[in-house]
Amino acid sequence: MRFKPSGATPEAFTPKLAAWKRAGVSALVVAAGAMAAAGCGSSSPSSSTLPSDANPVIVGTQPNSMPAPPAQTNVNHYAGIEMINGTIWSLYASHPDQSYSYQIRQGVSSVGQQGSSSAGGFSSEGDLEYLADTTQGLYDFAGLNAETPGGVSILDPASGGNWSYQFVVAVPTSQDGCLAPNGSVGINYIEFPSINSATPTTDTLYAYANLAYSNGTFSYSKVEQHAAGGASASTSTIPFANSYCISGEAGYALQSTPVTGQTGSSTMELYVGTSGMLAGTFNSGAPGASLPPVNLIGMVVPATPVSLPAVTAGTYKGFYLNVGFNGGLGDPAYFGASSGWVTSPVFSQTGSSLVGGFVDGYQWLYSGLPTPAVTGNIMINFGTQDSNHPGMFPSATITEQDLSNLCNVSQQSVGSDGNTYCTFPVVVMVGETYGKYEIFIAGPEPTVGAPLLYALVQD
Amino acid sequence: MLKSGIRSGIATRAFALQLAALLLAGCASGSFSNPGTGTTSTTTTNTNPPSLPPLTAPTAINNYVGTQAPGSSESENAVAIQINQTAASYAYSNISITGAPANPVSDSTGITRDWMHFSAFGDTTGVAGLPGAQSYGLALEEPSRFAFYAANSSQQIAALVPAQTSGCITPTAAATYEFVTLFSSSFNSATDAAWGTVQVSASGTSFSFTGANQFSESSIAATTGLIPFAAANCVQSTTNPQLGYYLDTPASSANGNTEMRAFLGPTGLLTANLQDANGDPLPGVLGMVQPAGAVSLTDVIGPAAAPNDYRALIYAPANSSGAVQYGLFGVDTSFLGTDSSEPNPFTSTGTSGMLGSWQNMGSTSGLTGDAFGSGGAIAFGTQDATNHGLFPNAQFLYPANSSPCPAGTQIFNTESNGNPANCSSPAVAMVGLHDGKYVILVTGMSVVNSPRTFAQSPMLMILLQL
Repeated sequence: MRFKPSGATPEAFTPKLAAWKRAGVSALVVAAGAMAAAGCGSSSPSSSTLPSDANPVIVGTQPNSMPAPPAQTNVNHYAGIEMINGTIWSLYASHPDQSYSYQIRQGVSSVGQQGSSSAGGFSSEGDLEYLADTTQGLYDFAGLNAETPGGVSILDPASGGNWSYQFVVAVPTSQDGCLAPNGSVGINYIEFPSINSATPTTDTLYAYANLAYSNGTFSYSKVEQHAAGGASASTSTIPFANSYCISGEAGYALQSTPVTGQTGSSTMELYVGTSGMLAGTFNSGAPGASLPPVNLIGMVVPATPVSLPAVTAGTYKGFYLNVGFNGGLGDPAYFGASSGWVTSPVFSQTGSSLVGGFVDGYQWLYSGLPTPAVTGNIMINFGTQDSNHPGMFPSATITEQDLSNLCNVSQQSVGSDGNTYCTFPVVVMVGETYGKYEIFIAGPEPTVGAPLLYALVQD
Repeated sequence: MLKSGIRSGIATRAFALQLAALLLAGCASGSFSNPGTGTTSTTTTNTNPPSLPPLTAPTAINNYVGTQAPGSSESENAVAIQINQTAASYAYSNISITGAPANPVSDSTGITRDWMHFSAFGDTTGVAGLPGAQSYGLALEEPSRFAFYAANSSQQIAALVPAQTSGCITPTAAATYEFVTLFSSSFNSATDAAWGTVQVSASGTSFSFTGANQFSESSIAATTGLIPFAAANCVQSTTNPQLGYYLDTPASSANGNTEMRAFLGPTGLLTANLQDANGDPLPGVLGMVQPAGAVSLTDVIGPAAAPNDYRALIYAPANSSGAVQYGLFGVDTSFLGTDSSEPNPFTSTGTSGMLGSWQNMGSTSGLTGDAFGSGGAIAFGTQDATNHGLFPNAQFLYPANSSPCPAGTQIFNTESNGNPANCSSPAVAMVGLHDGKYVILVTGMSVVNSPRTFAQSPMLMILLQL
């Protein structure tokens, strides 16, 4: 006899095309019949064919708002985007029975490793979820996960017992259909390039747009796209074109119509999470050109500014990623001087900054039992919050050690430990789900010479 | 005298009181206060033999207690395992008994996952000095009935039943129990007790083990390593509450100053550990209540269209590649992952048996390949006319690999050219039915080692129907 663990079956996401009809969906549910003319349902984001099937759309009940997030649960399905590679992943995490499963579903780029999957159990290690696979072997290391259950999940996968992928930013999927605003809502975006060929001065680094829904069509307005430093972006711009609800690779998603830009045609696939967090990807070049994808992390703009003192009072865990560092693999990161993680901080944390650092992933994995400890030689200064786009801190900076002396002299300083440090601009996006903050940081990292990305969730 | 601690007193509850408590609290500790949210099975009532009280419904969270020999030259010890199917977790711990040796298997807690029809333990305490969940052995569980656990390839198999929190499982009538010994590498297969039968009866909290017949692996009367069956009492230790209520046979000069602690499960699975004053290597005991009637091998093996599948834990101390192995048994070659092109020895000889495919505990390559090359088979032989479920002329089978059958073995069947196809060595099998699932115990001498060196080893197989 085998008792079934509580919680959902750890299977990959299965869209329930007719589920929108059933009672109990709290938000206004609109079958997007009118979009039949435009069509919907293709699962190939790079295809220029418009969707042809109607998929259920769940519309917020309050004016100019998304459907209210459901009550927090500790059994969740997520759809995620692997940063850099742009592959689309499904993830399931169940805390009651400490089980997980994930699978690469597909990507908009040919570089995606389709079909890789893992399932097993997880336990807490280094204040992260340590995933151990039991489908290929007996508890082979399968990655780390930093999760606000039901809010957002940052998956740093491994394969064959070792690191193998960039980390995945995943948002909780709606099982009943695409989520849509009743009217329109503002969205903040951070963009992360796929390869070390970004053009920081012109590539989109962050963006703002209002997302609206009407009659089967998702549309954008008030679009702003900014490069590092705040200048208007002109390359790798996000294709904010009309979009439609599709049954995507990892759940219901918004797929845009192709947009012809500087480098060709682009189509965006965007997963709108039930928590208000978003993850998306788009191919930056012409279809079939095998140009790498560009990846997005988004959040519905909060109604009021984020309390920065509250943010900096928290402690955070997650991952650091740089295209040009450590093979582009994610490294465990810990921030927040109030935690025991920061052992000997070089900087004094203030109400507008966080101090922490990251640990080399291999060292974390192969140095016995990991203890979440970082020196505290990296400081995030948030700067001023954009009053028009709460949650965004476009003038933030990071100060970190300049080991290779790559930073401009004007940005260098000497830390309390006598080492040379570099201060450089980044953009910070702060979201909040279920009482926990999430922090995403992106920008060119001059000490490495390539773009960085931090994805952190509050402990 | 008991060396395990101060005996707090003999249970005085009558059976009716015990049964009432069991119905209220469930048989297993832990299941009462936190039954979990797992799917419970259909209540099975009174499928036990008439000598045992009716069964209560199984629960998802169970505390087991039993025996596990810690090493080749040390006394048996007692261990406890909690398996929580709701949380998919486990906790394994040694029960530290005064005078008993330290358990070489470290205590552990962690998560469980299904692995090839076994429950794979994944330690999360860092006991191996590595992060995350690390493989920590395999278990077989029939919730609220019994469990078996193999920690690794060298430590013996633990046999456990639900810890009793309100009194011992008390037989309602005398019955014969068939048993095997849980031997170690120091086992003397020529003279030590390997299997036998014993009558078990109870009156209140007083139990008796009488009429024991004990045999060596050669099925001759054992003269050494005898299990000290004698009168026992249902007791509870205050110093080792994890033991729950158990049947204690105190050490006395009449039984070689050896104490036996026996744990009787609700389906009549009996496991016991022995401890003497000298720390001598003593075996454990694993027994089963005899079925009420003759066992049908057709039912045990299952119909051809849907044969029964079995999981197995195997202990053969002389196997240099690993004393403990795990595998699958049955006649369904697709289940076993075996080569179905091999001639089935039972078909050609008109006998009844099951094929097996097994591998070392540390191997995760999967049970694929040739059952007759990587595993073997068991043949039941004829059932004993008196002792239901006992097959005293069973045999272990293994492939001849185009070689003559070595000394101590015989030809079981031949190839078309007359060469031996399979050799066999004598064994004894016993079959019990536990809440609708067959448990098969097989003990005997077998050829071991891979590649085979024809070394002979005592071998114990524990098979549990899937």
